Amino acid sequence: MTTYLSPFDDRTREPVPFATRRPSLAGQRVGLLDISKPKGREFLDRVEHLLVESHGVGEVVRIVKPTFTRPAPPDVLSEAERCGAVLVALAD
Amino acid sequence: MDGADTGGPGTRTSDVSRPPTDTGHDALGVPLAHVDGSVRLLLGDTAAPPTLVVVVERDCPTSQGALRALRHAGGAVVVLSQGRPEAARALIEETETTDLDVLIEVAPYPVSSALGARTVPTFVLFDAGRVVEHHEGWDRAVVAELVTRVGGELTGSGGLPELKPGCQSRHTLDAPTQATLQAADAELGDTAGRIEDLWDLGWHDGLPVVPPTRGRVRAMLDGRDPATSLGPIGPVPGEVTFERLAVCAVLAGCDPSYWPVVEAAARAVMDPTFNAHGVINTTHFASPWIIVNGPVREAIGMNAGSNVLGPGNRANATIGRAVRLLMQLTGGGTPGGLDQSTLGGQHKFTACLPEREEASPWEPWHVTLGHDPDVSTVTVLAGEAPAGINDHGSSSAEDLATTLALAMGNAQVPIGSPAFHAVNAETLLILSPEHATTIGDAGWSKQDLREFIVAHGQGKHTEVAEIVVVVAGGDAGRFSAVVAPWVGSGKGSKPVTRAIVDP
Repeated sequence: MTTYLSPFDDRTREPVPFATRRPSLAGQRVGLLDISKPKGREFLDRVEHLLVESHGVGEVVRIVKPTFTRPAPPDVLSEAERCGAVLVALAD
Repeated sequence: MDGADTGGPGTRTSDVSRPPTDTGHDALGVPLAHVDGSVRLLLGDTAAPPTLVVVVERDCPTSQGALRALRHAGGAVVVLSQGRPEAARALIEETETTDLDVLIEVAPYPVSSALGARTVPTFVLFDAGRVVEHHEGWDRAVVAELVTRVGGELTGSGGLPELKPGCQSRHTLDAPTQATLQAADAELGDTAGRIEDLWDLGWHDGLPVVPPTRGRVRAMLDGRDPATSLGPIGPVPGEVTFERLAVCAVLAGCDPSYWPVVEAAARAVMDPTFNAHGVINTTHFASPWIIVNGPVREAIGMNAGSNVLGPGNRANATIGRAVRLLMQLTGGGTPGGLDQSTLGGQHKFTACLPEREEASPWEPWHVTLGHDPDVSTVTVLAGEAPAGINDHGSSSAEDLATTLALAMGNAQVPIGSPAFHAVNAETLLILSPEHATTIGDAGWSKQDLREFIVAHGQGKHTEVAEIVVVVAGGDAGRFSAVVAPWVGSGKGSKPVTRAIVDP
């Protein structure tokens, strides 16, 4: 094949590993990230209830992205980092 | 066959210097094909200033080295490539000499014969149509002197030693051997790239693309530094360099003359205000609409008239496509991957239009924004596919503007829907010349029309700034179009306008 110049940024990126899975949510501080899509808050209200009632979650932290159209700003990410686990509600 | 060391008809011999001769004069009247497709004579004009003619052949390593050495030398140099056009193009590609003036000669090679070029490369110095120096084979000191006499400077060696014999010139071979070599040339067509390769690589948008060979990309950059960085784009994110942008422009089918518009549009899309990241990822229809204003429209042959939104014009079609390919390939917005648009749309292949400023009763869009009329600009706006507005019935400005306001009010969620809400985002109205004339002739300014649309759009828009009006399209037809926006309220995307540098 002829040599073609590439449109891609071929820099090697270190894969980001998944966080360690937790055997149980009991007593954990769990973040619920609302990305500001319509109905996201109502959905997460129900999730919060289930986490506390059925999984013994110790504390639920509600985090809100200013807009779903852009990546999360640093203050949202640092808030999420203080949680043992974070659930992201992606869309309406 | 691989030139000097391989034997057979390609075995080449000598390094011969000869005194000045007039034999070259017979070479000057033969029409030759240029690699750019034109036809011309060797010197063009027999009264030409001192010119160095270099006879080469793609299969000859000494010829290849000589061209590499000459590629940055400058001066009045004309290259005569023996063999079919495919061989000339391959030679240019392999030696990265897109800046040299290359003519093509096929069998039986009358010009090479008239020049007495028994060897390739042969260097023939003409002055006022007469041969004043003739050298065969590579002698760096001799070639450097010849280049100096035509106004250049030989700085490189092309990977050649000080002295290297040339190869046998094709015109000295018998006819069957010449035919065999030319048949082999034809197989070099692949060096121009194969569209099928790009399907295999996945570097496409579903339509065929132009293979981004080194030569085409170099021609697109026209001397610009390929390593120049414009910053990151998209969710990957990928760093946009001039080279990667040029690759996308080549893939899209752009002519190099479109580069200033492509670069400005890419920079506008990459502006954080436009939010390419979100436009790429969204489930919405959104894609950049590129509006071109100013003298560059005519300079690169854009079409602002009939079928302005396509099809039919290369610049309109390929500039928008280049930006889309940048978002998809460099930015990582693979359809079905990180581009999760529910329905997509034809506008996601390309959406680029020049305003038909000359048919507008008002100032063009970039002047509305405060730019000088003589400045060329691109404006990018995230929008949906165009929706047609058909009004052949209204004869007054107010009636027609009512139609337009309601059509703008129907952008995204239609009027009357339980889900209706203010859009709070810039919405593009592409106004046909007939519609614009009806409103303009009644004494309305563009501002009047924009205010009317806000007031009569059933609450869809709340700010005049949300109403983007450009005039475009053919002379006949009372059809306009509205391009609905993406997410508003400053949270999604805002249009970005950039001046085009050096159009």
